[in-house]
Formats: sequence, C-alpha cells, structure tokens
Amino acid sequence: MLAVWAQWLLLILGILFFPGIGFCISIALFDEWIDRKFYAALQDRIGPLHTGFKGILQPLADFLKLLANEDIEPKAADKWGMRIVAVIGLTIPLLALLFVPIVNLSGILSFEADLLLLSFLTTILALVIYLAGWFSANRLAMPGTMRAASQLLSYEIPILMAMFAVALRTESLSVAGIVTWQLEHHRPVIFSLPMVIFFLIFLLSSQAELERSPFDIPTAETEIVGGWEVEYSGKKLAFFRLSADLQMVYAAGLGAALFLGGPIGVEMWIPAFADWLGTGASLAQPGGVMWVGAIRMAYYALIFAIKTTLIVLVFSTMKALMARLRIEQFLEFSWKWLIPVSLGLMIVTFFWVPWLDNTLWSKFEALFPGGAT
Amino acid sequence: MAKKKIKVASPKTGCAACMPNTMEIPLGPQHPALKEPEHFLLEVEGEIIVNVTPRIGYVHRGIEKLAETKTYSQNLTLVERVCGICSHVHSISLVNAVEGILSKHDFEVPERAQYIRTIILELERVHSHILWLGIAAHEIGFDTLFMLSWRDRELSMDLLEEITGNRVNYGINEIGGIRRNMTKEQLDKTIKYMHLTIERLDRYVEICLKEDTIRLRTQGVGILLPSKAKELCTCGPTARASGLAVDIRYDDPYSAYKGALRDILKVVTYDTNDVFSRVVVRLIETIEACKYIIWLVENMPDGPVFAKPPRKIPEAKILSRTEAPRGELIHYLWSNNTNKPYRLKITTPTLANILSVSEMLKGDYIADSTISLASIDPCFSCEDRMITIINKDRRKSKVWTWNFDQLRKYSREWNAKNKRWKK
Repeated sequence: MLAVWAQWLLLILGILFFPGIGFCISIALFDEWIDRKFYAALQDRIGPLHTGFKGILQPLADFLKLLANEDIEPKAADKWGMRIVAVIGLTIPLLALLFVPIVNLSGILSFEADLLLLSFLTTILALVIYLAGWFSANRLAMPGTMRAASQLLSYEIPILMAMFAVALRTESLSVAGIVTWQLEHHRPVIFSLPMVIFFLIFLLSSQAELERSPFDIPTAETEIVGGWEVEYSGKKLAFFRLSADLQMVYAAGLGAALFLGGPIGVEMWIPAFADWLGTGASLAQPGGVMWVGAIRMAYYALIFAIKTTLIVLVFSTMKALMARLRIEQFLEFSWKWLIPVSLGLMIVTFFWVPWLDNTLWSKFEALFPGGAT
Repeated sequence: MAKKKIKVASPKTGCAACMPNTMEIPLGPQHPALKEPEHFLLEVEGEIIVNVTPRIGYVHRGIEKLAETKTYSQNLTLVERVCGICSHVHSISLVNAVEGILSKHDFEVPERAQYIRTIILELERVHSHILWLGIAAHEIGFDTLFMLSWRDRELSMDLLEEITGNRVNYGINEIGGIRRNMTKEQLDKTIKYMHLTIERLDRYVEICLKEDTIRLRTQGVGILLPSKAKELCTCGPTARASGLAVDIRYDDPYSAYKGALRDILKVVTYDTNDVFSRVVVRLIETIEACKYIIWLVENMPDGPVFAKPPRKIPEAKILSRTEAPRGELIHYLWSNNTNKPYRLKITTPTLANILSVSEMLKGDYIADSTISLASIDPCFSCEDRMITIINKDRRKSKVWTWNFDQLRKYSREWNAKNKRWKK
C-alpha cells in the first residue's frame, strides 16, 4: 500500500511522462513519421531518410528546427491573442489525450460522463482554430478562418453522433465504461452492425476535423497560401504542427477506444489472461502484484500503439486517394449525406440495441471462446 | 454547365443597399500556386470572382536586345534559355526562320536532321504535358497523381538526355542541321520507352476521366466559350479545349511535319470548354505525341544530319511559327546580310493566352482561381517584357530610354533621397 503522497507523485509523473504528455508526444511524432513514410510509399517516394533509423527522428528534428526559427508577428495582428491561441491549441489535445485509455482500462484522468468533456474539447479546438485565424488579421487568413469554422462545425456533428452512438450501444457515457463493456462482452463495439458504418463516419469526419489532405481546405496552400496559419511562424507554428500530430493521435486513440476495444488485445477472448492481467497493481488498485502491473502497462501501451498506428495508416491512405474538394462541395457532403445517415443510424441503434443483443448476437457468440455474457 | 449568374451592383448608385460590396484579393506576384511572378487582382463578392485584372511584366531579361549582339549560332544557345521547359521549340523557331531565308538561296537541310529535330520536339511536348498534369493535380490537392506522373515524366527526360546530352537546354540544334546523330540503340530505346509512356498515360487518362473528385474540381470550372476563345486570340491546347481546331503543326507545317507525318497528325479538340476539357486535350495530345515519335523513328531516313550554311544571312524579314507545348510560338527575324540578326522578336504562347484567364475566372469561386490559371499552362517569365511608364497620364507617357550614365545618376539620386531603403 502506497502512501498518499507517493500516489500523488505517481499520478503527476504519469501525467508528465509515461502514459501522459511525454509518451503522447513521442507517439505523436512516431505516428507522423509512419504517416509520412506510408504516404511517401503510396506515392512511390522514399520519405524522410537520414535522421535516425530511416528518418524516424525527422518529425522531432522538424519540430526543434521550427522552434529555433524566427518568430514574426504582423503589426496589425493581436499579438497576445496569437501567442495564447498557439499554447491553447497545443494544450487541448494533450488534455484530451489524458482521458484516452492508454496503459489502463481508463485514462489517467477519468470520471463518469467524460465522453461529454471530450466532445466539448473537440468543439473548443474548432473555436481555437477560428480565433487563430481571426487574430492574425491577414487577408488570406480570413477566407481560411471562415472555411475552417464552417468545415469544423459541419464535421463536428457526425463525430459526436458516432461517439454517442457508441455510448448508446454500450450504455455508458465514460470512455472507461465503454472499454470495460467491450472487455466484458468479449467483442469490440465495431462488431455490432451499425457501428461499422459509424466507425467509417468517425474516420472520415476525423480526417476532416484534422484538416488533413484531401480535406485540408482551410489551409490549402495552393489556394489560400496556408489559410488560417499563414501568419504563424517559428515557435507558434511549431506548436500548431505538434498540436496537429497530437490531434491525430487523439482521434486515432479515441477511435480505438470507442470502436476497437482501446488497449485491450487478445485477452478479450482469453478470460484467464484477462484475469491474470487484472491482478496487476495500478493506482486504482494499489494492492496488486507489482511486476504484473508493469507488464500490463507495457502490454496495453503496445496494443494502443498498434491500434492507433493502424488507424493512422487508414488516415494516410485517405490522404493519398483523392483530390481536394471545394469548400461548398465538401460541406454539402456533410449536410446532405453524412449527417442524415448518422442520424438515421442513431435511431436504428436506439431501437435495435436490445434486439441486436438478444437475437442477432446470440447467433455469433459461439464463434468466440469467451462467449457472450 | 452554364456560368453562374452574377449580380454586379452598380457602382454609381448611392443607396447603401446597392453599394458594391466587392473585395480585392491579390493573386501574386508571390503566391505558392504561381511559380513565377505575375499579378492578378481578383475582385470578389463573397467567394465569387466578378472581375480580374492581370498585370504582366515583372520579369525582364533583355534576351531580344542581347540577341542583336550575338551571331546566329550563339543565338541558338541564347533563345533556348527563354524557357526552361519548351527550350527546344525556341531554337527550332529561330533555326526555321534562318533556314527559311537561306532556302531562297538554294540551301537545304538534310531530311534526317528534320526528323530528329521533330522527335525532340515531340519528346518535349510529352514531358511538358506530363509536367503540366502534375502541376494541375497539385493545384487541386491531388499530390499522388502529381508524384506518379512526374515519375513517369522521367522516361522522356531520360530519353532527351540520352539523345542530346542535356536534360533542360538540349543544345542539339545548329543552323543547317543538328549536332548529334541518333544511333540504332537510341532509336530502339526511344520506341521501347514511348510504348511504356503510352501505357502509363492510358492509366492517367482513366484516372482523370473516372475519378470523382477530379471531375468535381475541373468540370464546369474556368469556362472559355469558343467565341470568346477566338475573340481573345487564344492558341494551343487552350484554344483546342474550347473546340477551335488550331494547330500550327497542321495549319502551317514545319520541320518533319511537312512530310508524310502530316497525314497521321490529329488535331485533338474537346468541346466542354472547361478545365476538364483542357486536361483531356493535353492527355490525349501526349499519347498522340508518343505515337508520332514512334512513327518518326520507324520512318527515319538515312543520310547526313548537317549541311554547312553560309556565314552571312541575306537581308530578309521572316516570321517563323511553331507549335510549342503551350501554343503558338512566334519568332520574327530581321536579318541584314551579316552574321548577326538585326532584330529578333519573340512572342510566346502565354502572352496570347493570358487574357483568356480573366474571362475564365469570372463567375467562379476563389478556390478555383488557381486551377483555372494553371489550366492555360502559364509560363510567365518567357512571356514578360518590361516597359516602364513614368507618368500615369497616358497622353504624356514617356518610356525610359536612358543611357548608362543617366541611369547611374538616377540611382545615386534615388539612394540619396531614400537613404538606402531605410524607412
């Protein structure tokens, strides 16, 4: 049994280093490398090559280089606004990542109905981007800002739909509850019928929310010269770049937690393994076995990394597939197709949850050795 | 696919409701979508462009003046530097002009030299059009197509390097013929590479015709009606994409196009008048160009590749027209019975096409401005000549014709007045 101060120390260390900020930033830079390498491979290029093993340190080198660059602030701009927005833009995805389960069934911070907080943070991010463009007072930033605002708000809705559809399916509003439901029911949420489509909607809208090519309409370089981030340079740009990577990991991690069982791997179908892992020590369960707890942390972090990287690969593939749409074509797609479809599926989920559980799923439960509870 | 109707508020009316609420957005002279400096002032209402004012003349290189001080042979090297992409067609134009004068005095260029020149012309068209496809794909944010098409452009670039020894400014032309002959292996390799290029291009045609996002971004965008295209004197693929069958290779043949090649020459046109039409015309033209190359190699005559021309060119004024990858290229040569030209005037296709841009952009979204602009395949630095008008009153306009001392005096005065750029 640890002393109270030791528990607090572990929590702070956790937030700062291992499952928290340090780990998240490393995995964000790693995923950017994966993204760049895979995107390059799809285009018959090589990608980053020289820094570290096959260029694995290139994202870090780029970040440090940007930090050292000259930081230019235009005269007309709201200087303190720009500075604050850059810091907030980096903080929000980091904060959101603390709620994503990485080395445990729950995030470092977790409470009942934290899914609501996560949806709130996603919306705040859209606002931050809007303010970032607004403060820079640039003629090319303004169209970018307007585009960012309309695009982020239109694709916010399908994402929230997908999140709450999962909450409806698992009858829990906390990420930890959703992950536990998947462990207890021996299947990830994506195995339920409408949830597959929700997963696809989630991925597509996340790509739009992350403003990644081909949905980089607010920052389209060849159209509006970088859009809302045109006036950001040096440290502030570095912060926004890192923030974009963190957002990518956050989207991938949340997608993994909601649809793919989060950090849970094969123990979903091997109850004995799950029970053995459950005996490990953690902050929530200080009395457990220490070394099992350590193994569990490493194992969960590995599974989390694998799942997020897989989702990032899907993101990269999407990036290489299409040409960039015009803003009004892209918004039309959201309002005419994505939102009605997700609304309809929401109704389906709402009415079919009991029926799905009792009738449909019972036919498939024999397929998995764990069996449905 | 009609143009969107625009309501333009009258600027003269006084009431607040009818006030023109247009905003001016500059496109260039520095813009990531433009590789060379040029300025377009877009007047926009919300996201819709209502008027465009192009402003040309940011680059001055003095090539025309320089040409008067060099011999014809040196000028071939010089005019190749006009454009980095269609360099060979410039030297062909000058060579045709000079040889056109000489042909009046019983001088003839060997047939084989004309064939090899034409092979390089068509190879240049192939690589230029593929380069354009990549740039257009990049403008609409389709970087995969950009990267892949530029990979396949290397095939023709490698061929050019092997045949001429250079990748950009080939330096193979000489008045009276060419400097290097093509060997049997090179001819075989050309055929092999061209078949490969056709195969790859077929794939890109398929992608461009079927991929939904490309069609969404290019169809109905940048419309240039045939009547307008004719009125604005457009040329090359831009005109052909508006349904006008103009092609100097067919209309006024030169080099090897004069011979049997003209029978298999196709003037590719397409009739949707938009950016999509320009994509289709350029892609099909590239495939056709590959076929012409194969034909030329297969029907290559034997014989010498160079005939020694006289050193002095008799006095004449001659206009030489060639079909560059971007359209009609004009070299106007005035010789004066010396070994140097008296005057050489170059007009590149972009100058003819640039006015059509403002017609294309009207009524479109800002987001489409760059792809519409790129669709004429602009080459601004080739086209720009500089002229400075000192006073804005047009009736009393005066052109700077200073000598060096006057210019130096002016620069000293300017520096003293402006204190060396200090604000």
